[in-house]
Amino acid sequence: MQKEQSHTEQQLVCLLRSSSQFAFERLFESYSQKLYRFSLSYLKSETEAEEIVQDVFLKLWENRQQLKSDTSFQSYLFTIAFNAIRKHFNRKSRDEQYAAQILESLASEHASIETSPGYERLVSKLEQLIGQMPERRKEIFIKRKKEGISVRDIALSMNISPKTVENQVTEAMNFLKKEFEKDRTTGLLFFYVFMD
Amino acid sequence: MKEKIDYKILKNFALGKYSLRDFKLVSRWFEDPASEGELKKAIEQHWNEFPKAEMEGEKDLSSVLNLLKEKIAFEKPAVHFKIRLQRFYTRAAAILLLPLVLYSVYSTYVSYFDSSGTASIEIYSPQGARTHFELPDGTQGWLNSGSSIQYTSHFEKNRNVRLSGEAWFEVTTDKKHPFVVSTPALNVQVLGTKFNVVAFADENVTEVVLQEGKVQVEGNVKTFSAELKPNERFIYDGQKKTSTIHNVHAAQFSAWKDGLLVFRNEPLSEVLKRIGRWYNVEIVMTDPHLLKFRYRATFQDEQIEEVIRLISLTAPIEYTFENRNVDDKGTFKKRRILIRRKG
Repeated sequence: MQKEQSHTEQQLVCLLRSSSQFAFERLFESYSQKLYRFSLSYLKSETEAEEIVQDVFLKLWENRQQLKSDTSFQSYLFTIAFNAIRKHFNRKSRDEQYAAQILESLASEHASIETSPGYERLVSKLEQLIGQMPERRKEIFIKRKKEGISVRDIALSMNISPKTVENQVTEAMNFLKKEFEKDRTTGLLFFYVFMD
Repeated sequence: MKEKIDYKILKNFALGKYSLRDFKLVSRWFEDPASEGELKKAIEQHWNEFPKAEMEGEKDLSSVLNLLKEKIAFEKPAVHFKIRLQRFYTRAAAILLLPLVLYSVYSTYVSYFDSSGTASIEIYSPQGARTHFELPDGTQGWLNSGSSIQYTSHFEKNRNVRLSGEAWFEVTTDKKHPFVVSTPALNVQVLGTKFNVVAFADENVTEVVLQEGKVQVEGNVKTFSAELKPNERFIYDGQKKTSTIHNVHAAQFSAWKDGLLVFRNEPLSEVLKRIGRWYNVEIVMTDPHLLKFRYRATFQDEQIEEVIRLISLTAPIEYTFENRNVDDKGTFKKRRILIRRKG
């Protein structure tokens, strides 16, 4: 048998510098799984974690000629990964700001929302509840809260009065409050608080 | 405002155990440029602690790897359309006939004596023709259009060939006498093998594609040295002074010797010129601006009408085929194709 394992990481890095696709694939084999799971733990999305793996290795290939064999390859890979994760994270957290804001306004009624460690569940519960709203109310609520469109513009675009828009948003918020209250009374929120 | 990063909160966030308050904190650390350094340190600690393998089994990332391999293979972007149609041999034979006649008629041998008294022999393949050659040691090959090779009369002792243009070599094995192909940018050292070399004087790029065996590519100013394996393509960019190796299907790069029309990022002027010679037609271009359009294409067993039609699909051109005229002596003149800008 051939000595398959004979390539050390340093040798692979040297090979990669001279554009070896073999070395590239071996390095992908040794780090892609870790990178995927690590990205997933911060971004909470399989698609985005896959994107990180792709972006990081593409960048590694593009910058292969600048690779240094004396510095740690792991920490070089980490630096590319960190920058990519940070970029994705910031974009994602901006997109999800609305959920935090809604939950925050609900938190003024029951403080446990703010501190219960089941935030991910709260967000998916919120998404689920929004999905249960009647079509028109859901549309108005998403435009107002998620997309941040002004009451006036929503009224104009949907050909309804601003008063109707405001009423629908209030109705939607009352519905959410009531549902989260139900959770609390049935002890589900209690479960969030003491989970783990 | 710079904030102290709480490693425990960060790690629990990654584990999925976090509250709304924790989420807001972590989001702030990520967003605030002032925290970037400290955040990086904390996350790097987490990365170093992170297990390399997981018990629960692996995520299938083969599609990601395949995508990456594709991107790597097509690092040099260019307009790319490839037409590969399986046709019946009868049609192929009809079209292959013309180049076959051309290479045998046009191959010219020029020889002269240089100052040292040894004869220098040149084989030249005119524009539009492909020329088959055989060297004194039994090595065979093909010269593409407008290419030439030179060697000396002491060839069997000194197997050195100077190449200008594009050539395909099938080198006879002779371990005592290495076979060397010299181009201005690089030398290719060979034992016994099949490979393609492109080194046109008016182009910055020199490339070597290996189909069989093993070759050593060496820069003439010794800036690079690489050993190629079969199906690897070595490209040296004389302008950027960079060299790269890609995995390719070597057969594609020697397709020209088998009568395929292969264009690699060439201007329309060159494409039309070569098509004109290949099919023995006169192509008249009325708009000079169009001649700069670059093309990358392979035509296999296509008739002239189809080739022109395919080009018109991706370029803003219109075309007319004129009927063949007969001159005073009663012989047919070349068929003419007029090309102009669309609209």
